[in-house]
Parts: sequence; C-alpha cells; structure tokens
Amino acid sequence: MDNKRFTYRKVGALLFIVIIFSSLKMSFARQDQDIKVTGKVTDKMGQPLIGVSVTIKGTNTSTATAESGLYSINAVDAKSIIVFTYIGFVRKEMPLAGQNLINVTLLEDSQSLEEVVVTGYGTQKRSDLTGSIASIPAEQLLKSVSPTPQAALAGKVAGVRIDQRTAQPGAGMSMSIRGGGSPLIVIDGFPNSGGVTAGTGNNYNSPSPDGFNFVNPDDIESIEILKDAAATSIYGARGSNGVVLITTKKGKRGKAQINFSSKLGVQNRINDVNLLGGKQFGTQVNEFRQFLGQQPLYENDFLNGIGEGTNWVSEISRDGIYNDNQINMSGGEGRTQYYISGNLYDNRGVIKNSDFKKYSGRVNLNHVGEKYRVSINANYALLKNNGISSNTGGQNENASLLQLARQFSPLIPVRDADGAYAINPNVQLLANPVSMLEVTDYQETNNLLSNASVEYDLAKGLFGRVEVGLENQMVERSSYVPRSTVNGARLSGQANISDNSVNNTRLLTSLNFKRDFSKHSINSLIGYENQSYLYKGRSLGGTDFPTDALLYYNLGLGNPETNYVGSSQSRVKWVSYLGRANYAYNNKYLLTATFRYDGSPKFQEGNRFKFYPSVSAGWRLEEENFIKNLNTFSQLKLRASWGQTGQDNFNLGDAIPLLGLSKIVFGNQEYFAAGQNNLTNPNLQWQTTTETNVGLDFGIFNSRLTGTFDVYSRIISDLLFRRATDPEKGYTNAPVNLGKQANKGWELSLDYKVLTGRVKWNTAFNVFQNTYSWADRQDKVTPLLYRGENDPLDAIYAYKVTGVIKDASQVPSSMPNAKPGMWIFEDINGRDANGNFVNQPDGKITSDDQVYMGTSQPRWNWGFSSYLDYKRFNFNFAVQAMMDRKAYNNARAYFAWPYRLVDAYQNMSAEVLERWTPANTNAPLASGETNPYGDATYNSYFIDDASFVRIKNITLSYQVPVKKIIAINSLNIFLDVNNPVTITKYNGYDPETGLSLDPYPNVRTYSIGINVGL
Amino acid sequence: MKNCKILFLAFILYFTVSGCENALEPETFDAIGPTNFWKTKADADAGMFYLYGWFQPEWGGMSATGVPVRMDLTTDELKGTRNDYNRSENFLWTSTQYDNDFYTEPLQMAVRANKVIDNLEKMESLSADDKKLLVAEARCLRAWYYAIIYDIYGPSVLELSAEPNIDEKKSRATEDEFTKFIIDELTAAANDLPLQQATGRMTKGAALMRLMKTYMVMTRFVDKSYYNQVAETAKKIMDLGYYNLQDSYERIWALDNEGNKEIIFAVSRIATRNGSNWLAHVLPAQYESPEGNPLQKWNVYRLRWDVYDTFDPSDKRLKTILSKIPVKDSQGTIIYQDVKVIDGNNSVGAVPFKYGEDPNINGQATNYDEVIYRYADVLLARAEALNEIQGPNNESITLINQVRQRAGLAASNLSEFSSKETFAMRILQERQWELAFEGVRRDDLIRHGLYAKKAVERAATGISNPGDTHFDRMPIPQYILDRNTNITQNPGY
Repeated sequence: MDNKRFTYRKVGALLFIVIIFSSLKMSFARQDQDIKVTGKVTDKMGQPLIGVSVTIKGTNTSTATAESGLYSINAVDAKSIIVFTYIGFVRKEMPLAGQNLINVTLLEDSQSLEEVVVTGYGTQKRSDLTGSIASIPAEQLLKSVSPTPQAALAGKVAGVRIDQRTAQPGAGMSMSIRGGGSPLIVIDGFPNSGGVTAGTGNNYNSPSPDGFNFVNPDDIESIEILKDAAATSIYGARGSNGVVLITTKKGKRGKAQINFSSKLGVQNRINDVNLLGGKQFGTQVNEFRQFLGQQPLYENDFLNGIGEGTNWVSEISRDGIYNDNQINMSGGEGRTQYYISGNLYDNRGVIKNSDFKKYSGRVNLNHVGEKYRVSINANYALLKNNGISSNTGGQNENASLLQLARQFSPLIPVRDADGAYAINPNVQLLANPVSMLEVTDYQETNNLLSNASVEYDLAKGLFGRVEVGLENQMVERSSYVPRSTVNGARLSGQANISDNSVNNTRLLTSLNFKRDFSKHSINSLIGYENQSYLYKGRSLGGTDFPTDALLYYNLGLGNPETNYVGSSQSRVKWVSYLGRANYAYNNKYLLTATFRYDGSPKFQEGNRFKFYPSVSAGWRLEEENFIKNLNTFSQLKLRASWGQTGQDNFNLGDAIPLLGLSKIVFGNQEYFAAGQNNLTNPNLQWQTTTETNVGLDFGIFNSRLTGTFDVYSRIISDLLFRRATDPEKGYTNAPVNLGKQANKGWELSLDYKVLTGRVKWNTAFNVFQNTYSWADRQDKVTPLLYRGENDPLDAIYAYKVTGVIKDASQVPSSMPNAKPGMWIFEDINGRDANGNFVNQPDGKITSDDQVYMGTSQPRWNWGFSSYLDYKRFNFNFAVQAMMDRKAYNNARAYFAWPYRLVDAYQNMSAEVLERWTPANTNAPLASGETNPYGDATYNSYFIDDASFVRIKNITLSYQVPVKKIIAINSLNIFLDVNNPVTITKYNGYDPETGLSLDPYPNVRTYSIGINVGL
Repeated sequence: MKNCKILFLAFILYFTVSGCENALEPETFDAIGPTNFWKTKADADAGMFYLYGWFQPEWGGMSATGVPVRMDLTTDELKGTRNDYNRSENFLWTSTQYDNDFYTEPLQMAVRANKVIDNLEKMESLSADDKKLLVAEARCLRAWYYAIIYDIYGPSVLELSAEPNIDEKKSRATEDEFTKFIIDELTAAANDLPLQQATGRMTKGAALMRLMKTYMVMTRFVDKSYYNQVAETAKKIMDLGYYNLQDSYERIWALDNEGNKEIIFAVSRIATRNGSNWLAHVLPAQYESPEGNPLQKWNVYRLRWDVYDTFDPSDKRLKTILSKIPVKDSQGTIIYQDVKVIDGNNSVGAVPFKYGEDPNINGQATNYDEVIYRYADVLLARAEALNEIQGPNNESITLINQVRQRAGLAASNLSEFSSKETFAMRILQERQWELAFEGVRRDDLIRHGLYAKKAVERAATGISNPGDTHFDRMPIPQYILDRNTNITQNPGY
C-alpha cells in the first residue's frame, strides 16, 4: 500500500472541503429578520403534524413543525407567503397578510402517495420516470405459501420470470429479469449479498434454502423492479441483471394499530411418475430376462401373492402442514413512528424429514426533526430446516432418498424378518429408501440486517444523507449418516458440521438536491459507496463413531485418523461513486442522466475502475394540446433510454495465478503438492452490458385501462468467459473477455378496471418475450459444431429419434451394428472428406447428428390476475404461464428404460409396457438394450414440451361485520388454494419443479386464515 | 446548529472526495499467491510433486484401476460384469463415443511440467544436487505422460514452452520427433535419477522401464529393429543389480512386503488419503471376509474364464485369481463356493485378487500400494526381444524359466520351439500368465498383430475383419480435432 500517496489524497480532500465550506458559509449568510410568525399545523382530524416544512416563499428561510405541530418562523415582510409542505399531504400556501399567528390544516394527498416510486438511491414521482421500472404494491403481490418474497412476484410482472426450482420447504427460487441471471436485491436501500450456503460434507445434499427467506413477505410495502439501464446504471457493476428494490413498511402516524393474521393449511403431493406395482414389476423383470436369454427371476406363485407390493413413495410421504402467523404494530403520534412485526412460519413437508421454520422480527423506526430525518430498519431472522438426503444423479449407495423410493423394488418389504431394513439381495449397494430417512441434515441460519440513515438539510433543496448498514448471515449445517444406511455402515457413521457466513458492510454518503424553479424542476444526487462481503467458512467432521446415538454432537468420538477440519476466507468489495440528475421542463419534457464509477480488487491495476453512464428522456404527451384534444388518453408518455451496466462475476484466481494445494503420497507418507490448476489472465476487464429501451405508458377510458409497453435490446460485450483451450496448452480453458451476446425482447402489461361500481373487478395481464443469443460468437467459445451460430444460448441439442428398428431388415445403413428394438437416429449432419463439418448426412451417426430441439427457457411468458370485490366478499386468482419451452425429461427417460431391469433389479414407470419386444415390434419405445449409436436416453423421444399454464392461487375472503365486537376493528376470514390447476403436456413430474431426476414432489396447499385488526 | 451542518457536510465530502483506492488491493486469505512461492526447497518439492497428480487419484489416471485396467478391458483378458465398458469390450469406440479419455489429462500434465521445470531451473536458493534431482524427476514425469499418450493414441502435439501461446494451433509431432523426445528425456532422466527413492517417486529403474516399454510399442509402430533397444534397455535394468524376483509370487503385492525389490514402480497408497480401491472393484456381492473386515463389493470386472482355463492347475500364480470365494452359508458360517455357481449362467470370469483384504480399510480404500511395473516384465521382455532378433535362444529360455520356476512349473526347453513364431507365441502366453490384469495385454497383442484377431474371435460386435489394424490406436477425441483443425485423426477413424 502506498501510504504517502494515501496521506496526500486525504490532505487534498480536507483542503477541498475547507474551500467548499467557505463558499457555502457565504450562501448561508442572510439578513436579519423582522416579523416573527407562529402557528400550529394539524391534519383534518385535528391531530398535530410534526416535521412539516414551513418556508417563506422565495427565500431560503425555512423551519419545521415541532412535537405539538407548532412552528415559529421569521418572515421578511408583511407580504410574505408561507408555504407548508409535508410528504403525503397537499402543499398549502398562506399569505401572511399582516398576521402573526397562522394555523393551518393540511389535507392528505392519497393521489401523490401512490405515485411515488422507489428508485435506486432515491424516490421519484411515477409521472417523472424515464426508465423502465415496475412497481408492485403489497396488495398486488401473489399470495404464495413460500417464505421467500421472490415467490410473490411469480407471473405478476412483465419481464420477470420466477422459477421455482424445487418444492422442498423453504427451498430456492430462481429469478430472472429480462432473461438475465440473478438480479441484485436491495432491501430498503441496502444491496444484499444473497446469503451463503453450506454443504453436508457427505454424499447427500438437499437444495439449500432460498437466500431471501429471512425477509418476511408481510413486511413488504412495495417491490420495484428496475429493468432498463436508465434505472439500473446507477448500480453499475451489479446492475446488469436488473435490480429488485424491496421496501418495507414504515410506521403510520397515529394511534397504535395492531394486526394479527394466521394461516393454516394442508399440503398434498401432485404429479408423480406412474410406477409399476409389485406383480407388474416382477412380470416385466422375467420377460426382459427371457428376451436376453436368461432365466426368469421370480416364480409366478410368488408374484400372484404379492399384489401391489411396497409403495415406497407412500412409505416416505405424509401430509404437509403449512402455518404462517403474523403480528405487527404500527403507529407513533409524535415525531417518531414505528413499525414492529413478528413472523412465525412453519412448513412440514410432504416428504418425511423435510421441514422449514422461520422466526423473524423487524423494527422500523423513523424520526423527523426540524432539519433532519433519521431512520433505522432492523430485521432478525432465525431459519431452521431439515432436508432430505438428495443427490441428483447419485447411483447405488449414493442415490437420493427420492430416487431410491421411486426405483426400489416393490417386491422388497420395508423391514426384514429380523426387523432390520430390508435390502435387495441382488443389489446390496442400494440403500433401503426408508432407512435414508434416518440421515440427518439440519440447517440453522441466523440473519441480521440492519440499516440506519440520517438526512440533514443543508440549504434549501439540498440535503446530505449518510447510510450505514450491516448484513450478517450465518448458516450452520449439521449432518449425520447413521449405520442403518449403506454409506453409514461403510463408514461406521459419518458426521459433519459446516459453518459459513457472510458479513456485508456498507457505507453510503450522498448529497441530494431537489428544487423547482418555475417551469424547471431538478432532482439530483451525488454519492460515494463502499461495500464489502467478507465470507468465512469452517467445516469439521469425521467417521467411525462408536454409536449413532450422538449424531454430530460429539465429533471428538470419531476416528482421529479420519477426522477432518477445514476453513476458508475471502472478501469481495467495491468502492463506487455515483450520481443522478433528473430535469423536468414544464412537467412535459423529462431528462435523466446517471453515472457510476465502480472499482473492484478482482481486476489488476489499470483495469480496476469502470465508468457506467446512462441517459434517458421522457415526453408526457398527455400534457400536449394535440393529445388533450383527442380526449382519449388520460396518460400518455413516451420514454427512451440508453445506458451501460457491468459485471465482475469471476474469481480472484482468474486474474492472479493462485496455487491449488493438495496432498500426495510417497512411501506411505503424505507430502504437500502445490500447482496451478487454472490459467489466469491479468488483462481481464469488466463485462459491459449496453441497453437501449423504448417504452410507452398509456391510460385510456379515463384510466380504466392503463398499460405499459417496452422494447429493449441488451448487448453484452467483453464477456467474462472461460474459453476452451487445447489441452496441449496445459489447461482446457482460460478466462478471457470475448465475444458479444444479444438479449432482445418486449414486454406489455395491462391493467383494466372492468367494473368500478358496487362490484369492483380489476384485472391485470402481462406478456413478455425474450431471446438470448450470440451477437458475435467466437469459435473459441463454442466449439460444438452442430450448434448454429444464431441459436438461442439456452438451446437443447439431441439426437433425433425417427422410430424403433422393428426387425433385422430395418437396420439403417448408418447404424450397421444396431439391433431390432433399438432407436433409429436420423443422420442429419456429418463430415466431408476433409473432416470438416457439413449440414449433410454422411452415412454415420456421430455426435454431429445432434440437432436443435428448442430451448430450456420459455420463449414467451404471460401472467393474469383478477380481483373481484362484492360487498364483504373478495375473490381473486392469479395465473402464471411459460410457453414454448422444452425440457429433457430426466425422470421419464430414467424410469422408462428397462435395461436397468436386468442390470439393477429396480422399479420403473408404466411407460416401459410400451417398449419393443419380439412380440410387440410396433412399439414407440425402444427395447432398452444398449444402443452403440447416438444416445439411448438423451434424445428427442424424451425431450418433452415443458410449457405450462398454472393457476397459482385462488383466494376467497370475507370481511366479518365487527361493529359489536369490542376492541376489534376488523376481522377477515379467508380460504386459499395454492397450485390448484396446472395445464401442461409434460409427462410425469411437475413441469416447473420436476425437471431433475429425483425432484421433490410439487404440492397443492389448501389453507384457511383469519386477519384481525385491533 | 450551523456547526452541526458543517460537520455533516464535512463528513460526506471527506468520503466522497478522498475515497479509498488503496482499499482495492486484492486479498488472498486462504490460497498461495504467485509472489511467495518457488523460494525454498519445500516449495520446490511441493511444486514438483504436483506433477504426480495423475498417478494418484483414488481410481482412474495412472493408478491400477486406471490406464492398465481400462486397456485390458479391450482385450481377451478382462471383462466387465456390467454394461459400463461395452464400447471397450466390443470395439465400438469412435472419436465421439468412447469409454476413456486418456489423451486430455496426460497432455495437460505434460505441458504443466514445462512451467515447473522452468521455475525449478530459475530457483537460486536450491542446491545444485537438489535442482538436478528435482529437474530430472520432472523431466521423467513429463516424458512419462507423453509416453502414455504414445502407447494409446500415438504422437500428440509436442508442447515444450513454459508459457504456451494459447492461440497457436500446432499439428501433431511426427512419429520420429515424438519418440525421439520421449527417448532422449527418459535417457537423460535415468542418468540423473537415483536408484532408490520413496515408493511412488521416479527412480533410475522406473525411467529405464518406461523407456523399455516405449521401445516395445515402437517395434510395432516404427520398426521391428527397436527390439534391439528393448533387449538392451532390459539388460541395463538387470545390470543395475538392484531388482530381483520375489520367491513367492503372491507376496509381490502383499501389504507387509511393500517396496520389495521386484517392484520397479508403484503408486503409494494410504487408506485415509488416496487409498486403493482395486479390491472393491473386483469383489462379488456375495463375498464374505473370513477375517470379518468391512468390505465394499462393487463386482466390476473379472478375468475371463477362457484365460483362467489356460493356466496349469498347479500354477502357483492361480493363488491371485479366485475361482472360489468365501461366502456365508445358511448357518452363517464361511464356506468357499465356486464363483461359477454363485454367478449362474452369466458368469464371465474369475476374481482378480492380487490385492487382498486390508484390516485397516477405510470405506472402500485400502493401504495396498499399486504395482505398475515390476521386474518379471523386464525378464520376459528381454526374452521376447532376443527371440525376435535371433530366434529361439538359450538366454530367452533361461529368462522364462526363472519366472516359471517361481510359479512351481516345469522348466521349458529350447528344443520345444522349432521356430521364432512358436516361441514368440509361447512367450506371449507366459506374459499373460505372469502379468494378467497388470495392463500389458493390449500392447502385447498389438505388438504381435493379434489385437483385432482376438476381438473377432470373441465376437466383439464392432469388428469383423481380423486384419483391421486401425484399432491398434485409439481415435483422438473429436473435440480436440474440432478445436484445432491442424490435428489429424489416426487412420481408420
């Protein structure tokens, strides 16, 4: 570190400050005042209003009302006009007219409240926006049964795709804005780290809980989605995937209000693979063995007596229970308002041993002084969850609970005659599924998020802001594999504890200026931000325990030779400068410019800083006479924006050659070995996303129909990529900035108030489309030649099945060694005489014959919600749809492939009954014998249409008349069904959560609830 | 109040203007950076030891369950009990579909060695002796990796730069360039390496052995005359006077006889670190440990019955091939039962059992060192080479008889062999009996032009012409050719 240079910088900074002071001091200086005016400001109920800004029009003189709503100000002369402004209230001007006492009543401005939109590092009136920002107030969020706030956005916002990755309680959502990766999530202005995960240290790993489970969805006041660069550029290197701003509820002025709500529900499994029953299974095994010239395995008498056999999935399942309790209190009559809440969430999963519990509490405090405003938001959450042993793709003793339950022979009982877990004598490596329930995988997450801010008025329209925040998340994962499982028996018990934590600290300082000058209004800020994520990890564990009874509580009992410890630490940080200026002329023409200057230590000196600008403009056409005269549009705004964001999502080790450490053995002694496992590139630069957006906001029929339409293009250049290199260069890939990708799409959302009378009926609809492809593909990146240059990035390629070889006469010449009963693959591409790839058949089935099958992401999405109010009843539902989407149906291919029958004596789906046999040559499904060509299972036959239309939720609620019940202000009861209907062609599991081989079954939840206001 | 205002502004401006660029120095908490390495002898050792990485995975790589077994599975010797190695067993491999990629990783390790050698040579704090030894060892390893590629694929690109240009597309070295490099490097390394090192490290004997093996492959792909170099190199190893045959065949692999003088190169194993899981690979599920050891039984490959049946029943080497295994009867007592009875109709072979049970087994991992090269191979190679050069001769007979006598078999007599060819076939047979499932069979068959023929004889589905020699080299993986179009495929693929 260059200490001297650092010192010079500081001295320079101080000098600069002194100069600024002296100039400011001059501007603060003013004449002595003559007339003292006092008074009281109240709301229409007569309650005093505190912190109302009181200004003498045309001067810098201002003050704010005190505790009792009283103020005192010195006016210039008797003709002065006093202006009263207060957030959420209509501004009022009072001419002095010689008086010394002026009392005013301010009226609430519900209109203006709705129109304020939270933007990065500030707020803005919706009508002033020039960027693409979707704002979803709490009441429009999806009523989800998931503990994470992201779930509440499913199907609700144009351009936002929420994928539920698994239905396991508390497990993660994946969120994508305009087809990008995980967006930055900002909670009350604090950019979140996304949390940490920890592993089990054994061969099973259930999916980690969602990183945002600690947020209580009930605490949310609104969620803003920043989509285009005009909105996200101010987040610079972290803004390229879009930004989600979550704003929590603030205390409401007035008497304390207490709200209590409770929901209780039951959950059932939906959509599973249709497996064979005991007798059917045994018969199929025998048939297949006969086909291969082997003896049948099971006697007919035995099979006749066995019936359906053991239903392993039922053995490990139960009814799920869902329970969500909320209590909050809000109020504050003086200068201080508070919002306090508590949440108790409990979800017992439909698979035994899986559950998720959340205990969380929040305190939000706001204090408004004469010249300053202070706020502190603090949230603490304790999350506990038990996971089932999952391990997608794990075979034999490493297979997951759910895979085992689906594939274990139904002819085996749960326990043998001795009461021990029965295993299949033919495949002793395979654990009894029920035994796997004894594996413990427990996670406890502590999350503290606290953010405080001070705003101080420095001059008229100018205020400074300092924010200090801390996020601390620690995950402790403890696991034990007992002897009752195959792996546990092999290791005589295996225990592990992993602690991982992230400590996210941040400082923001900013100067904000906001002022109107006749027809001009300016709203701007400049700031400095410093944020770092410190990650720490510890793990310890061992095997060979004297007893299973102590689980992971006494690791010292393990074998000292195999016990292990580990630790790690790393830090990610940014130093940034940022700024924004909004300018509006005559409320008609809007202009915004933002910048961010981001620095990260991941880059070598010289490339460490990067500048991200944006400019945008808006034209409020509804203010123009030629539009007014049409008498059609109540709102019409044209927007256009251009800007840049970036990404630094690679590891420090990509730029700096770090040595990997390992142990090597010579002569029964261990030695250290150190070597470079990756190629590095000291010239790496920031990846840049350049986004252009054009949008139109409109309202017609007196705003009964409102809508927004956006078209955008994102060009991602200097991609941070690990390009493939030839192994003769020592490594198979190298980090580079390479190529360009284009992400283009459009979004439309419409809100229509169908009925506005006694029956209120509102509907909302959104639809969006997005394509991600190469704009400048470098062959260095994708050497797989069968991939088309312009194919979407998420394309699926597979061999194309044209049928099954019925008999020996049908063996295609391109597959000379194939036998009847095997797939026929289409010969589509090949090589010419020089070995160059050509789009022509070459008489051979090779990997070149894999062809485009569609994309794994939906080509387009839509969502629809409807709210119906009639008297005391409210009925609403929400639909989410993903269209034109393909998926390799892992589970279908696995369970319909009878080669495992003879090989592994394991169960399969009823689809195997459709397979080719010498007696059934006209079958759609291959025999199951290993095909020397193509891919026996990863082929077009098992690539399903995974599009779906899903009713996510239906709620019916009733407002109970409570006038006569003392102490209760309101009482609401409701019925709620989650996931009631899904329309899809996908075969077997759920098209959203069921793409893997061993998915957790998706669930349907029926719940009832009450909501009491005190 | 105004002071307050000024202080607040000062605070904000201080941060906004001064910033903290120095806070952006990269931090590495838990890894070794480039600036603090290659300083001490310990660094030099650790940096060089890294090159052994591909020899010591728990399975695969150059360990006994890697190259040796995977190559044997393509011959008439080993057979998988499952479908896993269908492409290998049935000659169905193509440039896009294959069971093993033994091209990529050895090549990467060979090229990474360049940088290690470069760093070692630049070190100033290392004594001349230490430097000479470590550099020799690194050069030996680099040549060894290239030699593995040569055995299986023929020449690859020969990249010798410490900082290769990743955009340069070289073509494959010629047969001459490639073999000359391997020969020169191994010869140089053999000069500088000591006779004895800790098990698992390179020695003079190991370098010469690898050299002899390469000459053997060259007799098929370059010129028969390389049998002269085979004979000569074998003689050099014998003349080291360091190696000998163990009295007992099965004790070559015994846990309490590790590091014995028959072993020329072995991978050292510690159960809790990189344990050998050969045993788990071969034990049938019904096998019960007579000593009550906890065992993993994966039943992956067997020695074909056709090979088993060629052994003389009195051959002591059969002690390492089980046709009966211990199982529990209905009373729970251990009895020995025929593998064929246990397997039923589908029995493919006997159980390869050179590595036995280990009471200190850790999961599937045992402490058995895995023997890669041993002295008996040297004697039989010299016997073969002399026959190829001069026809049946007394020295060859003497060499073979050393091996046969240990196996408790009658000595052979020169008069039994009327021609070079009959003697050659006899030596080939003796090699299989002596070196079964030690990874020599593929090279042996290819050297004698029998690789394709044997496959046709056992009705491998991917081959019909016994004279089709293109299988003698595996195809370069297609993705390599797609990345670098200057690389040509082996003929026939």
